[in-house]
Amino acid sequence: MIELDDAELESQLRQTFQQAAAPVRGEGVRRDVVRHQADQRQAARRRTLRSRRVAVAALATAAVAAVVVAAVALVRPEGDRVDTNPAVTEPGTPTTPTTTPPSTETTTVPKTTVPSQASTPSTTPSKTKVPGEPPAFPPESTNLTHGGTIWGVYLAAVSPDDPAGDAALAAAGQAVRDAGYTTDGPTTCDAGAAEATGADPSSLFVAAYFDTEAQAKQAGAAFEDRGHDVKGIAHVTTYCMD
Amino acid sequence: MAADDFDDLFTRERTPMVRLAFLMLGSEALAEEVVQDGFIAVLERWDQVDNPGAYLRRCVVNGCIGQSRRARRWAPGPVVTQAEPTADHMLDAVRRLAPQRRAMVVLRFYNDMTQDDIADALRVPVGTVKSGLHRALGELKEAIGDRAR
Repeated sequence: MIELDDAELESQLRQTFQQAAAPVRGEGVRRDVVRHQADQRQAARRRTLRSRRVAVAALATAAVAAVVVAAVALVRPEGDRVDTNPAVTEPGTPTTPTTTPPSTETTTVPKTTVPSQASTPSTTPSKTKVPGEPPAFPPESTNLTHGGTIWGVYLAAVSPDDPAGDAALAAAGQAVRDAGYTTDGPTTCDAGAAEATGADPSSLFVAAYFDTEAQAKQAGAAFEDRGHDVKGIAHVTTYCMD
Repeated sequence: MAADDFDDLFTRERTPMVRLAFLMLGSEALAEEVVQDGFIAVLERWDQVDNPGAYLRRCVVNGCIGQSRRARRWAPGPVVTQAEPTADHMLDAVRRLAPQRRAMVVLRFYNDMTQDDIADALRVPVGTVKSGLHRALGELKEAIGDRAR
């Protein structure tokens, strides 16, 4: 049996390691692949984070709404109506002789006393255009696939570092939903979007998607007519859906 | 993030890291896979790590240990090396060490790291490194002696 002392063994180890490792170059590790995979992981992480934020915000909104409804139910007994404008009365309500002289307030009903419906764009895409109304929204595509090409109308292109980015993304997402379109939230996975919008490639985008260029242009016009800024319309390749 | 800095790190560390991983794993393909994952991890946390080079090495070493534990033992196939047959025996003996001890041996005798640095890289006490190296060398002596008989 060969007896090696520690010094001999260590010397042999060093020599063996140097010889064995020398032919190895590691050229299979590629910088572009590293960068691409890191970008993809970060994009997926950001999307997950934003989805969680949206879910939390939706829960918070629902909770607040529930509290408000409960509070209103408590302070307004059934059949009793709280009216902040004493001059406006329900038809058939007995009136007592007024002791307050009429004022201008009696002729103008403040908006706060009248529940109003927000004047939002149609929530259902329609194909007909009524004269005088904004352009109709065309139907969105149902052909979003991983690696597929499609026409995107981009309402937001936001740098991840932009402190005001969340608000812009939320507003754009709301505009998309108001138009009756579906959205999974901001994405970084549309190849060609950055070029079309002139945004940084790492930007987050909110878009509606269409099968044809004509539909995309029609949607872009419809969005702009309703006051939404369209950042770009592009034929893009969609990823991150595998 | 300074893109140039990452490029510098990549250029400087790619080959040394793949060689280190190769010595621990015995497969150049696996070594490249582990090192690629290491670079991705560094790039993702570039703004958060003080010493990207040290962080990369820790990622690679831990990746190799994890890979070895998953594989349970080294692949029995021949090692692609131009070393002498005796070196093959030595490498074979190294490959039979437990993954963490193997990492200690490679870091100590290939990377010339101190025991303190090895402890830091492996996130273990220095005493663990000392005893691990001592036992690893004992196992290597025994394995090489058995081969020679």
